[in-house]
Parts: sequence; C-alpha cells; structure tokens
Amino acid sequence: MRVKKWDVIIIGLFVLASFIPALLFTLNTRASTGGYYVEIKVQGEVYATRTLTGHVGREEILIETELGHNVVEIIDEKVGMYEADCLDKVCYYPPYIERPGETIVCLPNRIVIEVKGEKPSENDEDIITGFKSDHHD
Amino acid sequence: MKMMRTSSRASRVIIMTKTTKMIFISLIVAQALVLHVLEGMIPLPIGIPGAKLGLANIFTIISLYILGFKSTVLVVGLRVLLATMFGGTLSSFLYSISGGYFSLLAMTFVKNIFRDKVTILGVSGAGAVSHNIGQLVVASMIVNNWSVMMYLPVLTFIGIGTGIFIGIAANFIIYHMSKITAIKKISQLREWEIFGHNKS
Repeated sequence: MRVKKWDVIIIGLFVLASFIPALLFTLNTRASTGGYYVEIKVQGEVYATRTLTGHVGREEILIETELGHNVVEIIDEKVGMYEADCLDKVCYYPPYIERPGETIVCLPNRIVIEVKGEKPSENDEDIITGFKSDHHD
Repeated sequence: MKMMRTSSRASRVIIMTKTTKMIFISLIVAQALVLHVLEGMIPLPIGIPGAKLGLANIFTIISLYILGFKSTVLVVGLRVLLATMFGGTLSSFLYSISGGYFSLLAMTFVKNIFRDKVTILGVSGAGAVSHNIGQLVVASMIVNNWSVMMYLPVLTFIGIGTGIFIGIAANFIIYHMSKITAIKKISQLREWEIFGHNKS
C-alpha cells in the first residue's frame, strides 16, 4: 500500500480549511469596532446595544414600560442597574457586570442585560467542558 | 405481477444477494457498536475534550467501499441511533448524527471525485476531519455561539492522526474481506480500491 499524491493534497486542504473559521473570527474582531458589547432586552426584544470595550465615562439608559421604570448605567466598561422600581431588587446583584455571558435580570419588569462578545472568553470554557462530558463520537 | 413471471432461479439469486446484504449491514452495525462501546472504556492520555479515536468509523469506511453509498446511509443511521440507546444523550445523538453524515458525504465525495487518484487513507482522513466539522457546526448551533469553531484546528490535527490510523485498519480489513465469497457477490469494490494489487 502506498500513499498517493492526492491523499496528501486532500488532507492538506482539509487542514487548511479547518483554519478558516479561526481566520474569519480574527479578521472579524479586528474589523469590527471591537470586543464586548452590552445588549439590553425588554420583553424579549432588543431595546438597546452599547459597545463596552473602550467605553469611557458614565451613561444612563432609561427604560420606561408599562411594567415599570428602570435606569441602566454604564460606567466605563461595566454595566449595572442603577434604579429599579420592582419589588425584589434582584437586579441590584451583582452590582456591575463586564464579562461576556454575564447577565443582570429584572424579572418583574422583564429586562435582561447581557454582555456579549465575539472573542473567546471564560464563558466558552463551560461550553467545551460540557462538550467533554458528553459521550459522543 | 411481473415478479412471478421471472424465473425462480433468478429471483432466488436476487433474494439471496438482498439477504446477504442485509446480514452484512447488520454485522457491520453490530461490530461498529461493539467498537463504540469498547472505545468508551479506553481512557485517552491527551486531555483534549472532544478528541476520540472514532474506531466505529472503520466500519463506515468498510461499508462505503463494499456496499456503496446508499447502504452506508443506513449503516450510519442505525449505528448512531443504537449507540445513543446504549448510553447517549440527546446532544450526543445530535453531534454523532451530524458528524457521521457529514463525514459520510465528504468521504463519498472524495472517493467518487478522485477515484483511483486517492487511496483509502485520503478518504479516511477527509472523513475524520469533516466529522469534526459537522460536530462543531452543530455544537455552535446548539450554544448559539460560533466561537466554538475556533476549536476546529485542534481537533483537526488529532482527527488526521486517527483518520490515517483508521484508514490503515480499514484497508487491511477490506483487503481480507474481499476474498470472502459471500462478500464478493455484494461487493462494489473496484480493482484499484483493493490495495493488495498495488505491488510497487
């Protein structure tokens, strides 16, 4: 049995092809304004998005719905709930979030604040470890 | 009622090949399952999640070479379904079925396009890599985060290694299997695909 020329070529092409997603991601993150952003959802719909990486200063986002009144504040690269008229005040903890995957939820007013990012982060480790425990082939 | 008019001998031959084929498919599925279970018992020295030997893929290749594409679709489907019943979860089923069919498509493609230019090693390597691609595509769809695909190069390098190993193993099995009379009857092996004949 002999390895033919095309065997090597095909395997080489597949190895190269496997780098395409990594390449695309690197180009993407470099091209876009960058890194992490925060997404605020009200009643399941995106209400506002702000870029977090490189954000300087303090910004308030006022959310007024029939369910209640909230104020989200962004200080530099952190997001937190500044004001909420709900009863349980769960959204005050954690006070600020900054890493992708972290969320602040105000259930009575149906507000979800989530930090997202294209970059791989600690957030992904959970996924891959979960991947490991699955018995698949 | 045309069937009745054909000579009984000819129809018996057809039925026999059909039965032989069915038995061969079931044997292949059973063997693949045994390998799948055994493989689960082998601890891997490298701590890379998702990396596996993929021994069951040996039988996908054998089936692809001997029975052809159509029967292999059945083989892969049955194997994944039964493997899930033997101790899998819904997510493992999704990973396996996507990887299995994606690698089957890639292997058929490589095998039919390049024909005698490519040996079983290339086919098997392509199958191993595309298995990983199919799995990661589904994984990233499940978690809704395409950065899982960044993991592909790591898996590819391991996949190439195991793919070549599996290609060699499948080559030996096919070479010896193709001598069996019952298998000769249903075999779709072409001359260049049997590696004993290549003396050089």
